Amino acid sequence: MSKALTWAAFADREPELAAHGRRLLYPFGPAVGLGFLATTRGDGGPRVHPVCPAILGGGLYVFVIGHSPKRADLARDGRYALHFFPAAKDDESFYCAGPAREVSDPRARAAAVPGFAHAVRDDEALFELRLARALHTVWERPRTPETRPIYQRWQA
Amino acid sequence: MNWEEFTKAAPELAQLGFERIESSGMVLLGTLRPNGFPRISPCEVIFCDREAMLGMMWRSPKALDLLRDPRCVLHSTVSKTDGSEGDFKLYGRGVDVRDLAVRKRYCEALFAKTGWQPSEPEFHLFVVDVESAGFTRFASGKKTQQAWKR
Repeated sequence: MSKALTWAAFADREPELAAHGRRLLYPFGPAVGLGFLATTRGDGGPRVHPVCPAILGGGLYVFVIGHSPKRADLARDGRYALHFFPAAKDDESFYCAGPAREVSDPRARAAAVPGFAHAVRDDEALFELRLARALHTVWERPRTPETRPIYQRWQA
Repeated sequence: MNWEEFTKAAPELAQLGFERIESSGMVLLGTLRPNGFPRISPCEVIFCDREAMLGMMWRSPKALDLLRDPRCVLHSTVSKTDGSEGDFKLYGRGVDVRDLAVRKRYCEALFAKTGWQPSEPEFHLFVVDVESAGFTRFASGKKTQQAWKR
């Protein structure tokens, strides 16, 4: 886990994969990122929630509501997985996973706020999502008997 | 409990969930990797035989996750950014289906819906043993929330 990278370091190492990720993170245009964040519940089971991540200043960030279960999950067990999959069809998707770290510096938090489309509330906590692995999937000939996934993988 | 039993226990919530899942036919499935990390995978849902059925490619990572640890969560897809369509979550356990008659009915339902079906025995089939569910929607500045637990 110590080898997990910032988004910028990941993009330096895997520019093509990172370009796919950035494109799929912003399916509605550059203003609003959309993804599904998976965390680990207190009992060890998985939790999934839609979030609006953003790539800002070389990092991948997400705000989560301060008293939400997923914030408690990330505070207790920082392991996350993020899947960019907004559309009804799953012909293409991007997935990354690694450790999430809360940004406690108020100046860094304040600097990130303008990078998000929604009105960030005072009780939202900012997390940086570092990458330990990434996966881009494209389905060739989707919804036909000949369909097959084409994977592009990276692991720190 | 199976999907039909869930619809009897929480009919309004189940109907909201059914509509949200059927709008795309897909969910985001949360499972657990061998090292305890959460995993998310898109997954097609077929409502058939009183069950919510999840078909998966043979030996796919999410299928292997469920065979090792059946805990899972299904989340509806999102096609709008304003939250007006609502989010549906279903927590439960993925139960491996080996019964050939049930698998055949799943294949027939999948074929009727998509024009495609997998071949035996090269696919995994799970039904969801429902434990809890929730629905949240933001529309016209109003939040609608429903939750149910077994």
